[in-house]
Amino acid sequence: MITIFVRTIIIYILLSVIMRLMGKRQLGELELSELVVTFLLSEIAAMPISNVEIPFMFSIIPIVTLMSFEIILSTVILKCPKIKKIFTSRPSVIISKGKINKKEMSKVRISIDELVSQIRQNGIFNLDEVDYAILEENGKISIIPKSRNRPPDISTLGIPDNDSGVMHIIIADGVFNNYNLELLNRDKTWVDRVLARHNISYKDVLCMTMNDAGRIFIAQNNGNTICESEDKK
Amino acid sequence: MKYFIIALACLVAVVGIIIFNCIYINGVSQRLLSYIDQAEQIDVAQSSDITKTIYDFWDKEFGKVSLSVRYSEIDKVDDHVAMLLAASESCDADEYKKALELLRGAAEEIARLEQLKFSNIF
Repeated sequence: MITIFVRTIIIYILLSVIMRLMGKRQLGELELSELVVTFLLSEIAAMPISNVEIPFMFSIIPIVTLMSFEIILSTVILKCPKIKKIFTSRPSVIISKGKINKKEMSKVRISIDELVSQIRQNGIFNLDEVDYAILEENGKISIIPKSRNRPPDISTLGIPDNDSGVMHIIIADGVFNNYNLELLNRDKTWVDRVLARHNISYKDVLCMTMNDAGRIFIAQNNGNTICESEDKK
Repeated sequence: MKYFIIALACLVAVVGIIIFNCIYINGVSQRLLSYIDQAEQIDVAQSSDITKTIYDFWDKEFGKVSLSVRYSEIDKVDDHVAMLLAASESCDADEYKKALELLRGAAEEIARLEQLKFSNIF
C-alpha cells in the first residue's frame, strides 16, 4: 500500500513537471504526435501504480524519453520547414468559396453527414451560408461563413471603436498579482488608494481587475461588486 | 531553446542510465554465472562455502538489480538460491545440481533481457 501511495505521488509530480516542460502545445494537442504522446504518457504512468511488481524505472525511462523526443522534434520542426512536411499534415480545405471539394473529403475520409454536423456545431444551419470549411491539423473543422452571413462588427455599424483591451487580474483571493500591476504601470499604493475610496481592505477583496481602458471591477468576499472607470482617481 | 537543451540533456541522461544499467546487470549476471561454474566443480558435501558466497552476493546485489529487472525474474533467482542453500545444507546431490541448473537459467535470462536483440524488442 505504501509503495502504491509513494509511487502515485512521484508519478504525479513527474507528470506535472513533464507537462510543464512540454508546454501549452501539449495541452492543446496541436499535432497528432502530441495526442499520441498524451495517450502513451497516461498509460505508462498508470503502469507502476497499478502493478507494484513492475520496477519504477519501467515507467520513468519511457516517460522522460517521450518528453525529450517530443520537445526535440517540435523544436527541429520549428527550425526546419522541410522536416515539418514529413511529420505534420497540412490543413484540408473541404469547402472553398461555397463549393464542396469532394476529392478532399475522400482524402480525409469525412462524410457529408459529419461535415454538416460540424457546421451545425459551429452555429451555422445552412450549407449555403458557408464560405470556407477547413479541417485543421488537430482534427477540428473551422468554418468561415459568407460575408453576408457574418455578424456585423462595430466598423460595419459605424459605431466608434472603444477598445477595452485585455482584463488584468490585480487581486485574486486576497493576493496581489505584482506581474499584472507592473504591466499596468501601477503599484500597491495606487491599489490601496482605489480600495480606500470604497472603504475596503485588500483582504476583503475576492477579485479586482482592470482592463487596458482603465475600467476597474472589484468583487468583495461579501458578494458586493464595484465598477468604476479610472477617471475618478 | 531552453527547453530543447533540457530535453536533450534528459535524453542523454536516459541513454547514459540505460547503458550503465546494461553493463551493470550483465556484470552481476556474469559474476553469478562464474560462482555457479565454481559450485558445479565442487561436491555437495563441500559446497557450503560457495553456496554462502552465492547467497551473500545475491543478497548484496538484489536491491540494485530490482531497480531495473522485473520482479518475476528476481523472484526466480531468489527461489533458486534458497533451493541451492537448502540442497547444500541437506547434502542432497540431485537437488543441488537441479538448483544450480535452474539458477544458471535464471541468471542467463536476466542478462538476456538486458541485451539489445531482435527477439527482445519484438
